[in-house]
Amino acid sequence: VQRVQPFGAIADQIVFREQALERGRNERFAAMVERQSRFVFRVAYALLRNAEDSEDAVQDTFLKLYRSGAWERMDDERGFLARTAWRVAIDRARRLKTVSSDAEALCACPNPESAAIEKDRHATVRRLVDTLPEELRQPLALSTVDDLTSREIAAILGIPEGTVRTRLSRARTLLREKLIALGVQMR
Amino acid sequence: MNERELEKLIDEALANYVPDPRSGIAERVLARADHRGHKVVLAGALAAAVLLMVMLMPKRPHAPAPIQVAVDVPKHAPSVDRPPQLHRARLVRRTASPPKREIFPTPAPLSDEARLLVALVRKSPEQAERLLTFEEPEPIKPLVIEEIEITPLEGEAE
Repeated sequence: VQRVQPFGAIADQIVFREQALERGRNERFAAMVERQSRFVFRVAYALLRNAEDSEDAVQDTFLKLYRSGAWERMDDERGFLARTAWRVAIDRARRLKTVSSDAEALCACPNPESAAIEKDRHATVRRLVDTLPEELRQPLALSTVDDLTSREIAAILGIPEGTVRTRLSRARTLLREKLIALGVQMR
Repeated sequence: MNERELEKLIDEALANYVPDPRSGIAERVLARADHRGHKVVLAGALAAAVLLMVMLMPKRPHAPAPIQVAVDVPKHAPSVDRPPQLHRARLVRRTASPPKREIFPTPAPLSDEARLLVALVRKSPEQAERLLTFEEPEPIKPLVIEEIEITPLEGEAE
């Protein structure tokens, strides 16, 4: 003889289990945020060049992933996060319209590169990177983030891997040319 | 500066091109997410409360519309000694009819408990069956009372 349990008791058991699952889920998500916040920030910064906006992008990225539940189905955590962060940063950059860089702006004098060499050489190089066309600057900036490979950069930017390599090479060549042009002052 | 020194300079400069975030970024992100979550919950609760208030608000009974009397004034004014006549009177009544339902009775959404139960049954029917049923404990054995033997008293036998 079988008897049916009171429905309330079953519902309690189910709710309890659901709550336990939710707690576990939240803990796993928090662990991922701890693990990947720095990486996501740096990906966003590669585009936005502003710490405050990049931190907002990190926030938006994780919130988006949490709401969609996509973070639980990620095969390649790093790649997936990088792509999402990049898209979020693009949206943010569109809204901002003008990207305000944390780096000191080049002066408006006829030859800004000459003015920049007054600062230390690394800062000069970084300012020169900022003067590169975006299509060259973006892969170059991403290549400095946590050893992202050409393949990963290609996936983030949505372009072929070969194109990434070409652009990286062109960016470095252009940078070298600019530095050589400043060669006298660089010594 | 030779080529090698130039490459080295570029590499060193690029290493710091993208800075690290301020310390505690994960905590800030989680705290803000939590704050936003609370905001959403608060907004939801507020909306639910407003909806509940609207639903529970006592409805005023429909008062019948006042009788409207349209009076056509005759083209030629009646003579002073004659009383004014009502040529035509129209009675307009408003009656509020309830909206027609396509399906009667209107299907109600499942409660949280019912939804969870359905989810469980779909996900793991065996587990649901196990939860929903249990073995009846062993039946209670019938009480056996031994027959009472009454031995006749010695005196009665005589």
